[in-house]
Amino acid sequence: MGLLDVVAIAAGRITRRAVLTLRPGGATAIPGRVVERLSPGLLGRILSQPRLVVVSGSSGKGTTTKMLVAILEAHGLDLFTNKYAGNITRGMLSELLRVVDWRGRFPHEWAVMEMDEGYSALTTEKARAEVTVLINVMVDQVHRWGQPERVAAYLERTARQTTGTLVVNREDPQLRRVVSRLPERGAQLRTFGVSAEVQSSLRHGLGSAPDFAEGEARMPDPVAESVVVGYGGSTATVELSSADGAGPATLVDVELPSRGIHLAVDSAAALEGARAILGDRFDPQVAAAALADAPVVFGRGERARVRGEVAEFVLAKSPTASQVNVDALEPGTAQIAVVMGKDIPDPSLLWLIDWTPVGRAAIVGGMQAWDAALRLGYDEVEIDAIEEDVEIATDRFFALPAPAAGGGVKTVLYSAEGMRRMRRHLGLFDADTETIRTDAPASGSSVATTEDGDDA
Amino acid sequence: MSATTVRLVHVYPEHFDINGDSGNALTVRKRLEWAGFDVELIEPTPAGGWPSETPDLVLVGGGTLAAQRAALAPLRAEAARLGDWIAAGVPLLAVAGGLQLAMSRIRFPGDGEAEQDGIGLFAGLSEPSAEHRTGPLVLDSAAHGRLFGYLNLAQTAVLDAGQQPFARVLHGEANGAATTAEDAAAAFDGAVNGTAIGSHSHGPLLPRNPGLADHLITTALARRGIEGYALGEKHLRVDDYARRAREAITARLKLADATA
Repeated sequence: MGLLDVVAIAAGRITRRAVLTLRPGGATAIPGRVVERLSPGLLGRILSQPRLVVVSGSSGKGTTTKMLVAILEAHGLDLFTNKYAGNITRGMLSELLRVVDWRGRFPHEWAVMEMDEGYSALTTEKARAEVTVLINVMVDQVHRWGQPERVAAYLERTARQTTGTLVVNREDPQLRRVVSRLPERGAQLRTFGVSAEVQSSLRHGLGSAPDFAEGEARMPDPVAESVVVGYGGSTATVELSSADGAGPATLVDVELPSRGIHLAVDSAAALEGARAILGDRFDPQVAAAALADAPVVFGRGERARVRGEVAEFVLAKSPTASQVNVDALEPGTAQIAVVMGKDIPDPSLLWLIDWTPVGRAAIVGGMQAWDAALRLGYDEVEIDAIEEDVEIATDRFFALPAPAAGGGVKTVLYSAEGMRRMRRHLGLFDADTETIRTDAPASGSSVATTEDGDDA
Repeated sequence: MSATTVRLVHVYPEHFDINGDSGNALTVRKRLEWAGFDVELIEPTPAGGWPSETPDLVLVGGGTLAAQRAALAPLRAEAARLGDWIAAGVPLLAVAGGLQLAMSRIRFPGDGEAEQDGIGLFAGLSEPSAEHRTGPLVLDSAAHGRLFGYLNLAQTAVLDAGQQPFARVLHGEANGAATTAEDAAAAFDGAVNGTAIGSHSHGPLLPRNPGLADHLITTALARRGIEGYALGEKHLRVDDYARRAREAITARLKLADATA
């Protein structure tokens, strides 16, 4: 750390105080931008100090990081994590400014960082990760990435910078290709996945981007793996192979924060990542209990009390995540709002999703309302009302009587911009949100051990 | 009375759906079914599955570069079959990456000057564009009026002299510069070869432009001498949504009002 870093950190802190005075309570990346401008290498110098864990991939990195952190903290690990969805350089710097001292010294043993796919490569080439968790490569943000192969190339660079253990989704074709290209004597490989039986029960599969490269992508055998062997909507059973590969497997029953197979995959990623980090200290009982208590990721699949009634809010992030959420709708769900905002630059992506399970939408809203209605119309979804203005759509939707079915719960599927505008209009902020777990059993997560190690 | 069956070939659906291009196949299928026809959906893959008899309509979507590379050789092997169908008057629509493969020659991004033979449905060269281009593409066609699509591609087709383009570009960029060398004021998109149409506009071009969808459908039916394709309530509902979506884009882009 040099003088420049000291100046940059001081400037960042002053900026942060100024921003918070003007806009109380807001998470902001502005101080990080100031710091980045003054001392471009500071992020790497801070993250080189702790033992670094990086979680990246197209979809689910935020959820996986939160699950992983919950498990690690329950085991008493001293760690820092980026909590406010700042997963690119300036956002991470803004959050790190709050914990480093005036010279940039980092006070925790571990840093568990959710990182954007592109920035994970740039950052780990400055500060190598001890453990890297790679979740998936999906057809996502094609306007930014163009090709899934480009995302895979960034994740490959991240994987190559990993010193200890690489934890990879074995079901993801692009990630299998990435691992097959890595040097033999690199990081140790651990994997997570979904059993063939569970996969065959899914309506639309797992949603990873296909791999069209020539030749089979061969992955070496992992030293250990965590596999989703049971999935019941908002619960999952994850089988953890034994640590030495010979003993019995451990079954962990997991309560998911919401419905969806992607959350089951995320929990398997978090469990295997935690095993990589904790080694012998890993306790499946503690892990299961931590997952049961993990807070729901803000705004992505949660129930909240709105204007005196309960509504379920589901963020339609990528096409794949949206498909999972649409498939996870309980049959007979009534009073559904679909809000597609201006963050969807090209509504073509709506055609990657099969909307048939929606059945009937009470309202279709947002800047892309007419294109969304067009899409739903071709899946023969009935539509009661269409309204481009999110605020008006919100008022009309919540003025409707509560549905008779589904416990009187209304359902909102929204894009990120639709989410921000709707939540602001409803006065629904992170701190005020009364999140209510979906229909998970009251008993909580549990752990069992099988003798033969291969059966649920 | 049993309904007439229309045979729709949707080429390599797993390879060519990067921007929701399968929406074109869904649109043709639903519009036919809503009009009382049965649809037989035929989905060839690189392993085979092509019909031995001439089908009624062929759709090709767009894929990633990796998918295009994987598809090129097996599709080139079907060039004669596809050429025969077009010669027989079968309507074909190839969009985005599908158009690139359908050109007579192709130079993939990252391959330097190396050029390969394409499928050859349209005369010209597919080459890397100067940059990855994204955004709305609005076209004007004498036959189909104003068409609304989107672009998300790092490739562009440069037509040979004499190859007819598909439509004039009102907003956005499409065909490579050589097309417009003669007339710098006008930019063009895609190519037309008899009943085959190629466009840079990826994704579901047809639902947003139901006139083009119905043109393909009626061309297919007319070839077999079938009448009775009539629009009903279900068509009119989605076509109204499409009209409003087009109006919304027109307003956002501040285009002069469409007359089509």
